[in-house]
Amino acid sequence: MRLLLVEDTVALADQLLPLLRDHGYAVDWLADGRDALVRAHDDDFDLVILDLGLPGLDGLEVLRRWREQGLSMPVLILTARDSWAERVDGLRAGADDYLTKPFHPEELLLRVQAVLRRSHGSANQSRLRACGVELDEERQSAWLDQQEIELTGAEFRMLRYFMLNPGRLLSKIALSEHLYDGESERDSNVVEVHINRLRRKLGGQVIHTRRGQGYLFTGRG
Amino acid sequence: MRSIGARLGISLFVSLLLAGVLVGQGALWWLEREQRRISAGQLRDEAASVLAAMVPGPDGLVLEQEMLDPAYRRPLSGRYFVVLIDGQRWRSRSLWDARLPLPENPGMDTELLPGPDGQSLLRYRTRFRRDGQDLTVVVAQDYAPQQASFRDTRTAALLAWVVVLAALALVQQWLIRRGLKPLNAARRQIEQLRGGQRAELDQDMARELRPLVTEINRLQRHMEQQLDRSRHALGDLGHALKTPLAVLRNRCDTELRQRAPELHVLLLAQLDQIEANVRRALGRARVAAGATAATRFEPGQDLEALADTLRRAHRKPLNLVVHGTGLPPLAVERGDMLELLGNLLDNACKWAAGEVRLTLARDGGLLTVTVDDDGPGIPPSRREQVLQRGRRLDERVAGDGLGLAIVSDTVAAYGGQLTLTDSPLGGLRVRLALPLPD
Repeated sequence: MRLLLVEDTVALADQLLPLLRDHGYAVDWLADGRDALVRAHDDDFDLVILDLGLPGLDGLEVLRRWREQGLSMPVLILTARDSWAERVDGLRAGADDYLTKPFHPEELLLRVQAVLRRSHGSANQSRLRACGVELDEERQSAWLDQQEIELTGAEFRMLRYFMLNPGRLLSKIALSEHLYDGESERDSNVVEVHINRLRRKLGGQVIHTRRGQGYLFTGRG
Repeated sequence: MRSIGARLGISLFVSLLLAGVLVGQGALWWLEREQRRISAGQLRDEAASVLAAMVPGPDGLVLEQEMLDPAYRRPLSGRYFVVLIDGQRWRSRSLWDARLPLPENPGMDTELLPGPDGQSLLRYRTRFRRDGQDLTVVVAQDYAPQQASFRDTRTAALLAWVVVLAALALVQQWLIRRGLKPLNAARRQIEQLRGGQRAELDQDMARELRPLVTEINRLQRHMEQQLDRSRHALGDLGHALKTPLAVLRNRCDTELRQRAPELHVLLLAQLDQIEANVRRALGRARVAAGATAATRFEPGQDLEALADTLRRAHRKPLNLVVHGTGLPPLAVERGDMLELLGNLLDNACKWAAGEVRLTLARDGGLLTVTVDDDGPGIPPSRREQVLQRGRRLDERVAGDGLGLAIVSDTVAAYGGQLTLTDSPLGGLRVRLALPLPD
């Protein structure tokens, strides 16, 4: 999952970046509204965490313009503006959720998870379920036939992305774009390595290869 | 202060009454004087006619009855004379057995003399000299009929005058009302301004009112700008305080929880308190307590969006139903109303098992808001306490207990009422009644 964090307070960003990365998200960080406006077009972000009081361009205005320009990625507003009128305005501008500062880090993670699942059409349960496979995002482990299977961070990230897009053909480039932030080095072999490891742990039929096109998560069903 | 209309009406009526009384009284006085003057002329002529009836006889003058007016022969006819000549006293037959006291001075007597048969006599005394004899003639006439007709005239005039006065008073009232029309128009516009149906007063007013209207408009704009500025300043302050608070809290959680649990708890408690105080102060200062045309709450536009916001904020299956989205725009400031509803619904959603219902209704001059939930409710004995302090009753559910405090601050600013009762859904029912300007 590739996230964009737009937050101008460096101290807060410094805390949020490791928090989000620890939970298996690839995060890019911007502090200026004008940069964010442009950047969202360059990369295919799965979610944006957007502060409202931004230098350059107000967050609400950034969001409005994104929506006008046809960008539909989910946006979670993270702001100190906590009046209900501002929350309503935020959702009206096209936000998917609204979290006010100060907040508990767990709350942010839960909201991010909920918005991601909703945007992929999954019900909001404690575990993510897709095609007979369950994923515990807290423990970063998979469940098959009531059996817990431990995953590495990279495997967890990849499986989550597959499970949020079940039955969709994902190219190697798309996978690496959604799993690594702008600063990571991308190597298509790494994707292949992780897919093979997942197959070894969950069974070979879980991820289907289409030669020259990409991969398909079919799970057990 | 009494109404200008009533004051004008009363003073104009009094002046009309005063002028009427003075003119009427003057006219009556003049009429009576004229009447007496005419009577005096008549009496002088009568005296001359009596003198003419004195003809020389064998033994001096005799009174030729035939030459006199027959009224002098009819008893108590109202016309009398007495002639004094050489110690002799001749009197008209009409006097019959009554005595006519003679006035002392010649000319018209000023006083009316009560005469026989309830008559009121006007007397006239004059002296003549005829054939070397001095004679004094006194004629008298009953003035009562004139007085009676005079009284009739006066009554009729008074009656006519009362009718005219009433008509004039009505005309005055109409004129006053017409004259005060611009004031009433201004008053209506001010009411509309207060009710948020217009942004400012029309400048196109009577010249006398224009400075007032200009000043009210200026004050209105000034107030809006001031409110806007202070709200912005508060928002900035909130932002400035909250981001560092978030940083501190997160730092606290990640680094102190294991290393110094006691310090962690202490810091979190203090941070909670700072946060609560900031939020309550901001909430209280944010209350506008009045809407302009641009800031009115429109149920159709905002209610569903608000419900949606709440559904997203609470991660549990909630059936949140909203009644009253069809209401017309209300004269309650949008921010205030959303804050009220948001906090009430937020509380309800926190406690509800799965059902929350919001009902907005207009009941005459009142806007009623009812929020029901199917949660555990609050026992009657603790409701007063909850309302007064707006404080957190149970810390197990996430929340700061500030919601109700902000709600009561806002309701107080609008002069409304907040009551807690049992809900038909099984939990708590919070009911707000806010007075709306007409």
